[in-house]
Amino acid sequence: MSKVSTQSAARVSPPSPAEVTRPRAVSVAAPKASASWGERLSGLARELAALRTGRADGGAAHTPVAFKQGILVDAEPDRRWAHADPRFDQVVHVFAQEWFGIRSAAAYLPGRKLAVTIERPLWPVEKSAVLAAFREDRPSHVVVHTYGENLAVIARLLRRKLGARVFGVWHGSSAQFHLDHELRAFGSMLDLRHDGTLDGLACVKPGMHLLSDQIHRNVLLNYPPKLPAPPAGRDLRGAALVPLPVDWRKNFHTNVYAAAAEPRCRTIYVTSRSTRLRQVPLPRQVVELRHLDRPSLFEILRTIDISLNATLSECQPMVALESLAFRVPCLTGPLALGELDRHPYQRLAQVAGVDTLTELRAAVSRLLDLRERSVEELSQMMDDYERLLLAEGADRLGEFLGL
Amino acid sequence: MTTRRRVCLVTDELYPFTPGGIGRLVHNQLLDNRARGDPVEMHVLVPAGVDVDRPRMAAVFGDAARLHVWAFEDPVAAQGPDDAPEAPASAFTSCPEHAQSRRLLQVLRAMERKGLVFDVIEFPDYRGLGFCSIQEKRLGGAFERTEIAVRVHGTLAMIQHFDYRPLSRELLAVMDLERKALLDAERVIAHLPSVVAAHTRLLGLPEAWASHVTIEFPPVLSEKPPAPPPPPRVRDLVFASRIQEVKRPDLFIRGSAEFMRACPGFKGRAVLACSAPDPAYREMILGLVPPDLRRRFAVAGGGLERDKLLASGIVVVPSDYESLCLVAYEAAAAGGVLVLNSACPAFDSASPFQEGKNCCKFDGTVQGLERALERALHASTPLVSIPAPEAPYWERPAPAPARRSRAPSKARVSVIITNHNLGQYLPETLASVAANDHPDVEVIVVDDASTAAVDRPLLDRIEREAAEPGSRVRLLRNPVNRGLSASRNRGIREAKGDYVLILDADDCISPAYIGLAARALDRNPEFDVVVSTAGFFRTDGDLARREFFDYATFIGDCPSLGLVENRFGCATAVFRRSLFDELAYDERMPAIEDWTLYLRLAHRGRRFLVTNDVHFFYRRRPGSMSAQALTAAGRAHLIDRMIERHPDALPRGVRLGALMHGYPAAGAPPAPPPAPSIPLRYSLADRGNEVLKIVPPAHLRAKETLNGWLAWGGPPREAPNEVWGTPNWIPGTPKPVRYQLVDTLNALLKSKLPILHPLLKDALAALGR
Repeated sequence: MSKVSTQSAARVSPPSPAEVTRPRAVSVAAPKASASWGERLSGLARELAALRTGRADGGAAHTPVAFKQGILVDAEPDRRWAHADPRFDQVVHVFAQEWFGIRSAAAYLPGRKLAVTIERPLWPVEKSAVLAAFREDRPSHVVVHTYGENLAVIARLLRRKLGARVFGVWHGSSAQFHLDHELRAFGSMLDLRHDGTLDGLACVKPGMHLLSDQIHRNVLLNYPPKLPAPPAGRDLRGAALVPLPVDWRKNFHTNVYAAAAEPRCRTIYVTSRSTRLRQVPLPRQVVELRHLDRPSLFEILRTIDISLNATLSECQPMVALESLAFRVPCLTGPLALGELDRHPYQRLAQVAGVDTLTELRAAVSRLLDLRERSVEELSQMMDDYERLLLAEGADRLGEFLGL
Repeated sequence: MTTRRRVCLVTDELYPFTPGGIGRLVHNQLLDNRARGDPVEMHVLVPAGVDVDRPRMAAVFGDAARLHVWAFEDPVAAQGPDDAPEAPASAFTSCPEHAQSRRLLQVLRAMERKGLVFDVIEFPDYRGLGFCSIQEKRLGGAFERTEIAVRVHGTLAMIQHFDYRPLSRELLAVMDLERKALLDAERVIAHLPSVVAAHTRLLGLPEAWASHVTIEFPPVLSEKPPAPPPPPRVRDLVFASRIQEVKRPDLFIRGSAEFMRACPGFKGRAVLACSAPDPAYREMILGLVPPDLRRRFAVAGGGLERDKLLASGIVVVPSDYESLCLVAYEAAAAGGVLVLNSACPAFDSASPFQEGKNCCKFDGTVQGLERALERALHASTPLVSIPAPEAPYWERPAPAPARRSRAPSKARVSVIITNHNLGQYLPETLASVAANDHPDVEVIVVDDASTAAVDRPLLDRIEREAAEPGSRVRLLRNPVNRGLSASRNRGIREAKGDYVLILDADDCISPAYIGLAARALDRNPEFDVVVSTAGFFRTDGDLARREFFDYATFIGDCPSLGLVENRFGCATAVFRRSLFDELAYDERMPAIEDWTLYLRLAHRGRRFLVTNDVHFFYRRRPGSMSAQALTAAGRAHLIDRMIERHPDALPRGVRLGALMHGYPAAGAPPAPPPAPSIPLRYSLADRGNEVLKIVPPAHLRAKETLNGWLAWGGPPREAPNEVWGTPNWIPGTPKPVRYQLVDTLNALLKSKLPILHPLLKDALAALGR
């Protein structure tokens, strides 16, 4: 018998860093007579932890950390901004809790959600809880987003026990193959396709089918988050966002300096720290934010005029899609999405010379000019692009899954 | 329609790609299978060092066998089942063979996961390479449909009786691995009953083991031999084994020389037609030839010349130990006259070789060999009736015990948690037990008179829980501190379970451990203990991420190595409760009480199962018993005490030489290492910190400010080249911010005011004093 009920698995979210480092109060209900010995002992353990941390001399030397919840079924952050589409009601998306971007991509898609930790192997009780969660409302299709050992375990479990068809989506590109772990993970995904664990494998980067005839030819499209209503157009506030890590591929510095070269960007929010160099200091306008979780990012998007995500290699950046939902233009590098690239909004937002400051600054100015001149025109353009993207995205996902 | 059974032979010898009799035997087995109409799909798994690939394999064997190659490499981020990570190869410090055995398990398990399921996997006995796979099968973790077999060729433990090599802890570990593989395998195959008897006698294996060994005569010839040539006028004396101590080339040379002197009419030569892996030993052996007879002794190569000598010579096999000896059969088939050492198990009276009928035997002495050669000189051409190979066991389905139920165990398991002032860790320990899904568990917390303030409310709460109706938790409070052994014994006495799990209050177990161990003991009634590979962690965060900074790997019952090193298991293990009716933890042992118990159990023939995956998580914390300085001398005293008080006679097969490899003499402790010095600037920073802590908000504010400043432009947060530690900082972990600050100031001072730096340092040091 499973000790972890589906409800509790879905409700408990992983501890935030603050929770990890700070003692927290734990409320413990009285043990129920019907509870299994494991549930009852867990309750006792939690209560003892609370007793320990409640004492001034008890918790000082040792900080308790709960075991991280390994599975989250239809967790609130994974449902809140998802698009609804009855065609995909029987689809379950399986993804890693810890991969922020891929989790966002999966979270906005229509269908049910299963977030799995990749930080440790899954416990038997957690596997049982997954089965319990989907036994009533059996999924017809499972979509595994990128390779992880636990994700493969879950995929096999759902296929074997519940008879679901299993599909994989690779959220990377061949440009990342210099990273051993990316290459290995991609290889493992292909192995799953070859050994029949996956009924299909698709990518979000065009052209990956050239690597294997087992890869679906048509590229899948990431969705923007679903908001209750798109924000109304508003005046410029003189703020830009560069939510990029500091690495070569992500091109952090070019984005920051290009934004700084545009006088209308009086505040530039960044999410990474960079070493200060006396000769080329980071611009005065830079305001460093700590890591943004999704609600915080959305708060920032409500207050800025433009976001910059012009990286040297990219599939379909989530920041651009999240900006789109808030009708904030976002600069990106070339995405090679075919017809979609020819949409007027994309022609403004995509920059060819992403590593050239002048090119990038010109693109920033171009978008801000349009926004200044007619915020309505820009909003309508983005409305239209979002409609096109969602319709095309649903068609492609349906075609891939055979729905 | 039935599918063909599938067999995998694990070997590192394969004729014609490697030398060695075992490779010839595998070669013969593959060809025999083909000659029998391919009743079985044969696979061969060889290490990467063997010079063979699929085209070369196909050229020799056609489609008679499929080749697989395994490489020894540290697996990358390997993950075992059920939340139990795999230990990396570097954790297998007992001996390299243990890690190789682990790697072989990974390779075979990967094959199984890919759908290549074998009906039989057969390992050779030497080096214990089957150990990990056999344990995994017994534990129910893999190979559910596969029978794991071990074939007796010649273990290092056996050869050591005849071919001494310097004993070391590593060699002891290999010998105990070999012993475990032979004992624990589902099936053991030997070619002759006399070889089984030799193992029982010399390795101390139980009679029950011998009665279950499958005796099967293998295909000793790869093809039907041609008719023997007519006897030559003069036969040479031929030694065709290998120049190695166990093969007794010394006996051949001395006996042949004596024979030449005793029979001046004999005009033949004495020829060594064999390989010599050790050039120094070869020189020593050739140096035994009397100078006046040197012209009559020759060294020949292999190949055709050797074949010719086997057919025409008097072939002498003086070996002390052979499990089969293909050379003797090859020579017999080719027409050679055989002179065999009757003390060798392969040539006893139950073998096809019969004194006076088809060979001449001698008693293993020089004189005996000389007389046997005299008889052989006048013997007629022998006719050894070589038995036809039997249908191999792998053509028949495994007996029922090889296919066991995977149903969950219904046994009750008592978890005995001993606590002494470790209450602060108890919640995690209990939570880790609670995460197990075994249906019937009772938890007994034995508190050994804890005095820490934090323990009291926790124990009171456990006591209230224990008083609740239907509670599975019990609390036993020792009125006075009795010590760890006595506390465990008390818990065990109160336990109602069929099995008991011993756990310390600061350690944790995997969610699968209890179920796995209970199932394994259910399935394997001949085993009494399940021990786990251990992962060492420092913080709960590390544990949650399964990030271990070290591991401990075990062999289980290792009666020889166990005299000097605890490779039995860690303190946490699952035992049959009934074991403690005859034994208990020795309450006089202040430490290594677990080792003491394991040694006694092993020497009484109790058997252990060892998990390959990490199911036990050991917390390394300041002040733990193992972290507390047990000096080498103190440890040696404890081991002395353990051995001296050993209640039983040493069982047969235990290597007494092990005792030569224990700890340094207890009376002569080595000089302790110099205490690490703490830099002055850190001492000052610590003092400043203490002062600042008087006003906690100011302390917090200062810390946050410094953190921000250092993150932007300060020094790196880690200094891996620094090896000393302070009470507040463990090297390898991020430095406290105050240390980073004084490091920065120190570097600044050194670079800007190099003259002032030493003066200031001296002044501050004086102030500090």
